[in-house]
Amino acid sequence: MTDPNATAKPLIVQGADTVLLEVMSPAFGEARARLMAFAELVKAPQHVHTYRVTALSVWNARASGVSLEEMLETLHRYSRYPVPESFEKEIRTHASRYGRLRLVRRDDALTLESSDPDTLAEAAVDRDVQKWLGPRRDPLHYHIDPERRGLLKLALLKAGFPPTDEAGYSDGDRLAFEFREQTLAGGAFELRDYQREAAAGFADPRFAAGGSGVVVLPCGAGKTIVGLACMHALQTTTLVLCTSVTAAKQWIAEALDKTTLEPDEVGLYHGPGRELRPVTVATYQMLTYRRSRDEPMLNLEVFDRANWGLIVYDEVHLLPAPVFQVTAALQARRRLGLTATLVREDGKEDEVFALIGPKKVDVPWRELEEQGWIATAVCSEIRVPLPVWQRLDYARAPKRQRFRIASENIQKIPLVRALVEAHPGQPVLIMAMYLEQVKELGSALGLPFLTGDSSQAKRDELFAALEAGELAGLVVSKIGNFSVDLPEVSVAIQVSGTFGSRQEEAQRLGRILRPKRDRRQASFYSLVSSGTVEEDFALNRHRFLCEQGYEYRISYAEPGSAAGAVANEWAGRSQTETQTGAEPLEPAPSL
Amino acid sequence: MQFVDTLSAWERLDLDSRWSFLELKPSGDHHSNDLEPEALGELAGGGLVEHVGSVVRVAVVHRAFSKAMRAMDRARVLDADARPDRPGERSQLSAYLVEHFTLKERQELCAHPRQAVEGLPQLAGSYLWIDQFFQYVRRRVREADQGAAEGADTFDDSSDAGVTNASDRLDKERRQRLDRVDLAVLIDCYWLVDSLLSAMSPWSVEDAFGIFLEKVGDPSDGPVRLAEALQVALNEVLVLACIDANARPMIGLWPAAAKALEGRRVLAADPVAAESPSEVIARPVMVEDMLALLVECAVAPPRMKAGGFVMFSRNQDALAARLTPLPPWIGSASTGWSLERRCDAACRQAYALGFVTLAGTPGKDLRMVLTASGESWTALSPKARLRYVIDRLSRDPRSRFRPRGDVLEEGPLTEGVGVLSFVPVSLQMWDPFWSVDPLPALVAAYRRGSSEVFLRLAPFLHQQALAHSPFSEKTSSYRWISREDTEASWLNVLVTFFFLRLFALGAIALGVDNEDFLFRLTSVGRFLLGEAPDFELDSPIEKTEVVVQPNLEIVFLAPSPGAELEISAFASPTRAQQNGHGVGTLYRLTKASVQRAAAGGYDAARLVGALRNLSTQALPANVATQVQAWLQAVRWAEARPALLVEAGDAETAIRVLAAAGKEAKLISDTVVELPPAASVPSRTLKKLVEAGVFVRERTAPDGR
Repeated sequence: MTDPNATAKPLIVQGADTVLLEVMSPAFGEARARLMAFAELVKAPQHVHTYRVTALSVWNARASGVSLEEMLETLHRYSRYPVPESFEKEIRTHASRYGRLRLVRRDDALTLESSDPDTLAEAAVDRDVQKWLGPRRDPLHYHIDPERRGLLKLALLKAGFPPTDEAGYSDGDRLAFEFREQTLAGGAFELRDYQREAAAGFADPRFAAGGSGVVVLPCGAGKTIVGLACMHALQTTTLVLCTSVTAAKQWIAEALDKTTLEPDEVGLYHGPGRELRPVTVATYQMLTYRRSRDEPMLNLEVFDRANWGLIVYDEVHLLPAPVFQVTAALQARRRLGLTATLVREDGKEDEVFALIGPKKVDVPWRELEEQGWIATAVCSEIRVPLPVWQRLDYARAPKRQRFRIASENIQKIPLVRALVEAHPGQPVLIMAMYLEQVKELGSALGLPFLTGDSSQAKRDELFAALEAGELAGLVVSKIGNFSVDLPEVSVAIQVSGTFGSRQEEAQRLGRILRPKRDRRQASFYSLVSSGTVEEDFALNRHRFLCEQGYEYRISYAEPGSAAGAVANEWAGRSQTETQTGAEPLEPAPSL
Repeated sequence: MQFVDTLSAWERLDLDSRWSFLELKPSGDHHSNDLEPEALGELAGGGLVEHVGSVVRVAVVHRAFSKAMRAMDRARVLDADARPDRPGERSQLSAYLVEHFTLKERQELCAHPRQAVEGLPQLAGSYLWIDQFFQYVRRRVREADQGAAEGADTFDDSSDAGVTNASDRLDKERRQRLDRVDLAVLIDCYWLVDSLLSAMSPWSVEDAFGIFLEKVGDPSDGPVRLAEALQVALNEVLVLACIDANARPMIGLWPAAAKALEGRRVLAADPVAAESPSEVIARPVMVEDMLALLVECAVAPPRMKAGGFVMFSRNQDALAARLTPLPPWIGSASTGWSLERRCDAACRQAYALGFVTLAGTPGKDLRMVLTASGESWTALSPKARLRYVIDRLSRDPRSRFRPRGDVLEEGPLTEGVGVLSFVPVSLQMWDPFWSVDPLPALVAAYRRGSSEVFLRLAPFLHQQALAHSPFSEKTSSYRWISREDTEASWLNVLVTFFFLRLFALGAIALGVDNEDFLFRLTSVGRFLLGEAPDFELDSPIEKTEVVVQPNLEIVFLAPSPGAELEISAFASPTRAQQNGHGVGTLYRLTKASVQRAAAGGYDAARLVGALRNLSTQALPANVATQVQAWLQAVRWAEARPALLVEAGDAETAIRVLAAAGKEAKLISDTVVELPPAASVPSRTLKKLVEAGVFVRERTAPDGR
């Protein structure tokens, strides 16, 4: 109101730490670029994105060379309303605390130092900080055990004294390689702009935080390539940690296909013949394996068995607690976290940033979709009534049992069949949570299935067959959630899921987001029992995708309607185009 | 002329000698030691003092000069530096009159002997005193055959416009006094006063002579003419005299009167020109603010201090954040539009109109809550809401003008509980004016405004204050109230009504251009002033900038109390809303909030329709479907007490059913339901016993 151009300004400061960014504003792009330097993207639904300015985000910004004045100038320039004094004061306070303490090397020893003895004393009073401090050299210096560098940083961060880490990194052993212009498979290859920028930002040597950090990119956007680009920028021996053997093999395949690395330079650290190569790919499960609860995790030694210059954490949001702890002791090595969904249901996102490094890149999914780097996806939720005979069981069941009854609603099966038939010629990935349900689906639909018990060879074989279009569909349990690369699969049907897990929803959608050769859109169906708790959980599951800019279409498999008709409606076809089995559904429950 | 002659000698003295001379009593003897030898030498050399032995006295011919100069020193009425703490205060003029005039002279000047002390400063300090003199001289000039031609040259046409009206004629005594003065002297006097008015700053007497000589072009005649003119001007208290810091005699007009007269001349001569504003605002802020308050009362009733209408600061901050921001150029005009005052006004107005009431115990849990009347009002269309308030204010005869203030509680009225004064009550008004009903004059004044073009507000209001004050008649009865006071009072009423009613109700479009206010009557304004039977809203009452996102969040890009009120009926407030942010993610659609709305009468069409209307972006399909699904899932069930008889087997149940009669109902093979009662009726019990069924009554777990 005060400024005639005020409505063109895209920022609204809301509350103590939240900033809203209006997408429709003409200044959206420039404001976002500047805001991202010191604020965390929390959600990016269609019209208004939400950012949070926290102590950590301000400290990360300071570590990346963004001054306090730049942050405030951005807020004042783009804010539609006056920036609340308290908000500005908070940012000033956070910024003023940054860099009062420094981790440096003095005479080959790691030292925590400050030019202000009071600050150092105040920090040292904190109990958690005290645990990781070494002997005090003088009022301005503490010796630090290099193994405790990460834990000390985390403790200082929590105590509100983020140190600047100027102790540097171990360079690792040199590993020279280049990207191929033509892949081994014969296709042309070139890094995409955002991949190149992500790698450049990661390896930027100008700032203390350069060399460690987290890259957040949508599934299918080529995070593996970003990882390889970071390795290429550093030209150093690398340990890559993945969530599964399938994912590890895909990493190796990508490395060999897209770079000049030779097969004897890249190895899989798995099974009896585990190999340590200049580029070693291992799984989290392998690292944390132990024979019994009381025995140590012997495989953790892999971190020390070579002079790694870089450690890559794939799907960093799944980092298990023991690896967290080991990572804390690996602060002298550069660390790269890769994820599509930095949503930890345990709320430890901040610890990921603290131990791995600040978020370097975070691109909303819809933005890459608009640029054509990931497939356009249509997300649909179809609500299916419980059969009449099951409704009383449902009503009388305990809360947890109700979810299972709703998830395993047998009326979902004809609808899945109809959906598969509604997408002829398109391989369909069918995902379920319960093993019995997976098997039942496989049996009812006449499709193969994979569970955690399936051998790696069988997994490789069936995924390859699905990808090649030799299978109409494949039913998978949770093993299909992560790191399964199926570029040509464009239809996914989620029959049941892990309660309200937003991360699982996003990862499952991610399986079909890789752009297709014929540019066809991806279809993601979520089947939910109507009038049950599954609806409430589904609402929460969709939140992440809604907050990435996706819209959900919701529809009902009406009582008496034919499953095929419903499926066709959702597949965007008319009933006359395809003749599908018309199994009537029972009426919707009124529970 | 003796004064003029002495002045020549005075100008030649150094500063110390001047001040030494002023310390000497005009008719007393002084010891030569009382003066510095240099000063004594100077004064004696200039003939200003006589020095006989050790005795020094003011020369007889200069005693009148001494007396006048000492008086001018004591009452330095034109020297702002002399009393920097009280510049232009009327007491200074009073002191000046006492110094320079005897009581008899003052009584003659003011024509009302009993008002010589208080009344004369009022009269002589008014711009009217000077303007009446001007008009008198003009009339004399017109009447005198010989003066007609001379007068035509003498007076500048541009200043011809008198600013006083018929009620401001000279009183008889003053006119008779001036009649005795030669017209030529009066014309010179006119020139002197008019020149000082144009200069707007005092002249030294020496400069005045120089300027006058230049005007008349005759060095022999000039000083005498000016001396005579100055004599009349001083005697008539048109011109005041005092000395400056260098002990030089100065002449000038009473600054307040000069400023007022010059300002009025400009206003009278300058028509109120149409202009183009750079920014314009036209919103019924009063209605919007009340609406914001009602939202607060509906969502989280604010806590009130024991006094009743003052919120606790946290609640006030929450309300203030919800108010639509006004451009800063409005606030800078001290027009009562601070957020704090808006909150306070909203509370009082909404209470007086019966939209809110107080609930709870003062000092403990007193809160302001929405009434049924308030709920009904909020459900009206924006136009109807505004119309209701206008009708309550302007059509209710009790509301016209309530000098004693708004009535917040008047008893059980059909429409609300209080009465708001249509003319806002101002305390900056003289008591006699309280008996005047200003409404007709206010309406007439603003009807002179335009609905076509923007007019400058300040000149418009001043012209209305000068020309159409309903208080003028009262002034004649109370001579101690000056003309300026009357005008200031009326101007204050005009300004208050303008901002607190016309602007607050959206009756005018207020614009700004280079920090000057401009205004134009809106359609609402024409209706309010009785010029039109109905009105149309020029622009939407409230520009809604609300976005419904696919994740079910509702984001306010601009404060919009109306939208909030509607949304709060079916969405849950977020922490940002509770913290009093008028913008941001204020609400979230949840299953509970939507189903609660359904229980309150919302159906899918109404709720989804409301979301579609409010959202500036297309409503996401999943939101519409989800909301509909939640609404469709709402079912009603009835609970009622019943008396159940559990029979051991089906056979017994049948016998119970038969004994209990047609009101009994078999609800399972072995359970019979009887009409609700504390126990089985004795008549039924008797029949059951006759049928061989004995009933043991089981007590409910809570003993009932």
